[in-house]
Amino acid sequence: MGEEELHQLIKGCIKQDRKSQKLLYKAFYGFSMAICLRYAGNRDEAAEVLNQGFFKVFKNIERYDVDRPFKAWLGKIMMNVSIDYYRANLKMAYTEDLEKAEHIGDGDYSDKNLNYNDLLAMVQRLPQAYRTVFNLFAIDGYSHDEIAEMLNINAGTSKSNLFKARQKLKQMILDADTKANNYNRGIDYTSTVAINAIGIKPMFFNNGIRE
Amino acid sequence: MKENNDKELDNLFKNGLEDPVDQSGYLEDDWDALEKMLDKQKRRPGLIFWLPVLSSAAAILIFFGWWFFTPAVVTHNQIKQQQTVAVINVTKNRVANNADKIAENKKPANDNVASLKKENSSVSLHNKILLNGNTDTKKELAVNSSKPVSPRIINGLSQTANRSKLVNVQDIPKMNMNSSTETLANNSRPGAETLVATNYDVLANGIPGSNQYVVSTPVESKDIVSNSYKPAPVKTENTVTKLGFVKRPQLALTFLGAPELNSAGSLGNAKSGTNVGLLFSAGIFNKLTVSTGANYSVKPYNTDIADYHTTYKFKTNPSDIEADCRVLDMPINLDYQIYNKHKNKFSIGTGLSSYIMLHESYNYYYSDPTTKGPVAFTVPQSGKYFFGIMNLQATYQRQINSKVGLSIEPYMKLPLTSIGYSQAKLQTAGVAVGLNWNLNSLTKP
Repeated sequence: MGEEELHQLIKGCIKQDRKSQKLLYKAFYGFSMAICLRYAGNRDEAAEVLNQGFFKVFKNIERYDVDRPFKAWLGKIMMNVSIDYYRANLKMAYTEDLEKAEHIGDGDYSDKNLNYNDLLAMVQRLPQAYRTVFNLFAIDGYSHDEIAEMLNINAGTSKSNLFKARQKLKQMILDADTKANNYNRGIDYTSTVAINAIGIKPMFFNNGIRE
Repeated sequence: MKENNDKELDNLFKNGLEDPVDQSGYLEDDWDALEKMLDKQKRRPGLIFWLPVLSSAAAILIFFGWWFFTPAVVTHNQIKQQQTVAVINVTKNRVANNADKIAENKKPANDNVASLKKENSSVSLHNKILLNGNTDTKKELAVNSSKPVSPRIINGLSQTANRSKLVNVQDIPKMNMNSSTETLANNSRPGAETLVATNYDVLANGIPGSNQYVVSTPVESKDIVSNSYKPAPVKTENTVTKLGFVKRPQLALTFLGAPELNSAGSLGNAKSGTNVGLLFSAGIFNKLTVSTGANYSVKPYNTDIADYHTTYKFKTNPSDIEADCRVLDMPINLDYQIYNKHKNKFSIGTGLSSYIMLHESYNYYYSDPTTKGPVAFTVPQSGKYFFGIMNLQATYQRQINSKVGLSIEPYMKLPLTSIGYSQAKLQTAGVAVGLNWNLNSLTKP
């Protein structure tokens, strides 16, 4: 979407024009959903948070400074709404903090061939408190002090939650590796059988012809 | 090493999740849900415009509730009024003839008033008060009525006549007189208003609750004797029917008291009155409170002849008219809370009030004290003015504890319709001090 087109849509949204709102919603749905999905536990939750975010966007669209990138402004709103959602479930999050993290050995993650859906599924499987801190720290780049202020928790809690989140993710990656290895072995076995079968026949026929 | 490992893990997720592959996940259902949220937000301001309608509907319900409970009381009063026969006789010659009898029958406890008559002249007062033109003073009373009077009343009169206690004018409280030579007949022109000088309550006769309207006309003689008769002492009943409010989750009960200023014109010419009442309040929605109840108001005010609307033709217009009204004010108000922190609340509100006129009387003052004319008038029929007054109020409330709070409420009552016999545009301003009782505290364990 071009800048000019975006500004026209924003002007329409300022006038509360429903068509402009829908066009803007559709245009930035994927971008916004990606943020909400990694903060939320599942897609339904993410869609709810997304709509709350867009509701805020349309309500405060006149405050948007056109000189700044729209995506940054929108992304910040989506993140804030996600954090609000986290705050609403704060009690539950604290109980999760009581969990003890198991120490998982370090591994090499640079060569892991995990796609978007795999990674998203892992993040979403994290307890909400861990997920929120991991998102803020690892993906959105906030410091522990900033996170502590945003979530109204101690910096120590933030560090602890990040550590536990990483441990859980490492475990999930290990599990995924194990599963993938099993799966790969299964493929190898089948293919070996097939290759063997194919290999046997030509050999048989060839042998027969040759012989 | 460990830090690098963590960094690698973070980057794995950062890079992988920052670039979502499934951008086409748009669902029309999600937009529909958002559209509903947006529509809901749009409709919210509309709710404010609907609130007067809603409050009017609530007021109508209260009115019908009130109407349902009051007929018994009204009928009771009407019967009493119909039973009341007032006779006024003004005499010059027969006072002497009857003087002995008056003296004879005059007792300290005057529960009946016999009449002396003036030359068979009679005046009907609003077709309800009967003036007697009886010539037979021995029988004391004969009732001429334009309306059928029950035999019981007539018999009662006859019987009572023998043991009647005659009261001369000095015994009638608050009887107003002017030194005038005009006769009753002169004042009783067809269609002319009869001015009631005294709202002489039959309490003097030991019969509470019945009103008697006595015509006082300017006469020379002070020997005016009025007679009022009640056929039999009606059993005094406290027939005040309480409004039967259905018990609902009310939030607060407020007892209010207020000094107030009343005026039919500008507030510069205002007279002070008082207002006491009881209000129920219930919180609706987030910051809105609806309240209703009943206030008893004493509303004296001054007016001049320009603002005093009447069909009666004054020969000489009074220079000043003083009104004294007792009103039951039944408001229904809606308040919006604009501040609520700690124990302090501040809200502004508006609403409509219905006035039930309990008493209405006027005193007339003339620039020339020797002017011949009526001096007072008590309106016999009380009026009801539904939603005739607009209320504007601002309330500051300080919560003392979880149960009790104090409030200060400056308010104004602006006329939407004319009030009372004189069709006055009565406006009121005051500051109410209230004691609030949180009824929710009752339900707390």
